[in-house]
Amino acid sequence: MRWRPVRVVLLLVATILLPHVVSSQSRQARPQGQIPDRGRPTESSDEVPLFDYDAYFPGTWAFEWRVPESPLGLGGTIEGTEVFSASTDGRYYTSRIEASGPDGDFTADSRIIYLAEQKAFSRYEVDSRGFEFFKAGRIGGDLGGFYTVHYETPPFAAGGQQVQLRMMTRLVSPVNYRVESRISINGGPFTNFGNAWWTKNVPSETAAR
Amino acid sequence: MRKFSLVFVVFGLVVSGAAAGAGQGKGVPTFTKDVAPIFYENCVTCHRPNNIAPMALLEYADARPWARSIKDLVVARVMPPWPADPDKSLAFRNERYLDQDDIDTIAAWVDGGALKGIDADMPPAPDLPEGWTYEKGEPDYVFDLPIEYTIAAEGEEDYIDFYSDIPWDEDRFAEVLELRPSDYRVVHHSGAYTVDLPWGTQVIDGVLHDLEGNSLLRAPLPRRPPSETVEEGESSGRVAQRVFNEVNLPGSSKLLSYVPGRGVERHRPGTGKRLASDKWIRWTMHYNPIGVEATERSKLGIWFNTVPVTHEVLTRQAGNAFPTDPFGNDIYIVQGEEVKPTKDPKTGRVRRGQIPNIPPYTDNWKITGITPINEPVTLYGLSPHMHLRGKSLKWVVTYPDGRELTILDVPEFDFNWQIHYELAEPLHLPAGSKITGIGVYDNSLGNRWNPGPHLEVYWGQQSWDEMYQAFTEYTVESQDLTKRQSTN
Repeated sequence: MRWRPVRVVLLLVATILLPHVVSSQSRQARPQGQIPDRGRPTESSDEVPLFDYDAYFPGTWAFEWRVPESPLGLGGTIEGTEVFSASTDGRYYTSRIEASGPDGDFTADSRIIYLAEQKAFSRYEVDSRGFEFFKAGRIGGDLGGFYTVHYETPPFAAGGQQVQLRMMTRLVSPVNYRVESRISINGGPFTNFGNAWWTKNVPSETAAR
Repeated sequence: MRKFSLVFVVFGLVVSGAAAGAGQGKGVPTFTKDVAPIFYENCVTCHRPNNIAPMALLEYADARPWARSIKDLVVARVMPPWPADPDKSLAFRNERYLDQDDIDTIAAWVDGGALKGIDADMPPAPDLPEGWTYEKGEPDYVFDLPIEYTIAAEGEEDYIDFYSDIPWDEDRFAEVLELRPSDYRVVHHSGAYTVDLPWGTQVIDGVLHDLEGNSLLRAPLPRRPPSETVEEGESSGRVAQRVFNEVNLPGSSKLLSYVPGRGVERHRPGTGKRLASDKWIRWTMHYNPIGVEATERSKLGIWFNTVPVTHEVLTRQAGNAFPTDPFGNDIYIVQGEEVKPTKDPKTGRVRRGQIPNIPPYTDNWKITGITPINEPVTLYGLSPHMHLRGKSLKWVVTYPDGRELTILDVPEFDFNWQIHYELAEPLHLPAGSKITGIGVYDNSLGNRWNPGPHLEVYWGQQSWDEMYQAFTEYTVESQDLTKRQSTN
């Protein structure tokens, strides 16, 4: 095989460009926040973009949640993963939780509807521990890209009692969100039900420099 | 025989259960006897109803559901929260640590079934003033936010300022101040300052208005006509008003801030914050919508000095020029390069150069502020303040002979829990020393509070912008207010 000058030049060019291409692809693959780069500080007249579910949730998230004793289960730490799937028909999304806690292993399957224009979420969740609930809420954001979903359930039965949950899901980074939850039992006052972090599994080279 | 055995077993269970329920098992701690005293001593300042902690720990019924989490967090020393590295910092009089014996007691209580114990063992609840964190009773004077402000359920809240008149006829000094929200959920942070009113304004019902009576709550301040003289150090801009509106020495205007974890400042006898009779209290409020409409009316509690004040406490940041140096410049080094001051070609005034923005996807981005100490000072307290990209902040003192002393190292800054660190012993710094603040920022994906790692971060007041505020509280030793007339 003869090395023609053109081939040599092409090989050299490819050798020089390849790291840049790879680097560029790696950079593009890095998760981003939802606020566009305006090239200037924010102004109060700027608009907060509608939250993009498809750019945020789909994927596998790990979580850890310290909960108090309640009709939903024993107090202690719950650890697990939640897999959010992309919508297949444009109508709804699904998620599946696989976790273990003080009561042992459990799963929870959800169907989620997000109406971007209405800034509205709803989620129906069936928990293998023997309860299921519907929750609905609105999402709002700020100009820094910090979105919050305010969920609330109607009362539902669990552990022989009536339970109601309020949850504030704070989408604080492209790969982390925090759930701050409160619980009411049998119509009583809402009390702290724990704060939990969800962290998205992303390739390590995109997660940090 | 079988029936007898069953009765025996049931009897045994009842007896052992009663003993365990009462907490009389040998060596098993109970809430009433062993754990409540620890909580009362170390936790309930925050963990009580209507305070900042998410749940109370005053009663057994409050604590029992959280027993396992309490054990996890105290064993890991996550609670009580104290972000300073104790091995790399001086001692602080407000530091919060649990002794290892207390941690072991709590862990044993949880492992033993988190038993209540007998009511007779329960200690009396601590006598904490309702709502106030400062433990020595009700304030001498309370300023109320001029209006009850309504925060919408959603949207964006700008910084807003309210003004309260200072109602006394001569200057007074506060030894202790506390800024307390009425609804912790909605107050992102707040600050109290003593100021003059901006040029061309008046206060109506606690809100700035222009002289025609138009509200300036969300409007720009009036601009001073170019024909009117601008005094040295004065500006008609809102930010400049905040920075330069001092009574006497720079650093005297700021009284204190409230952020989660902070909101009380206790000065030493003979020192304090001046509340000048001809000034106003400016409340700078940043509210945070929480999904439901809420109302809020903060209070500022004042405990006056009980002995004559000789020294006014100044709040300056490491990097600011020394307060008594009229020719001093701020000194900042960013990523190893000094930020050069710039000279206004028209006025000849020298200003601090623009600090560069923080690039996207950058961690360990460093800014260092240096304050040369031109005359002896006494150092009392430190308050790290950064925003969502803040990663760590450290103060180092360099003595004239070159010795270095780290006085505070906060290796994992937490925007949601910011503390005012009060030195256990005031620290004398001779002339020729310098105070250095080293702030590190993380604009990478590794920062879990970072909403936009792909964005360049600007310097500003919103939480998605950044701040470097290595607040340092000190007095200038040459000052003796008992020998001087007020300079108002």
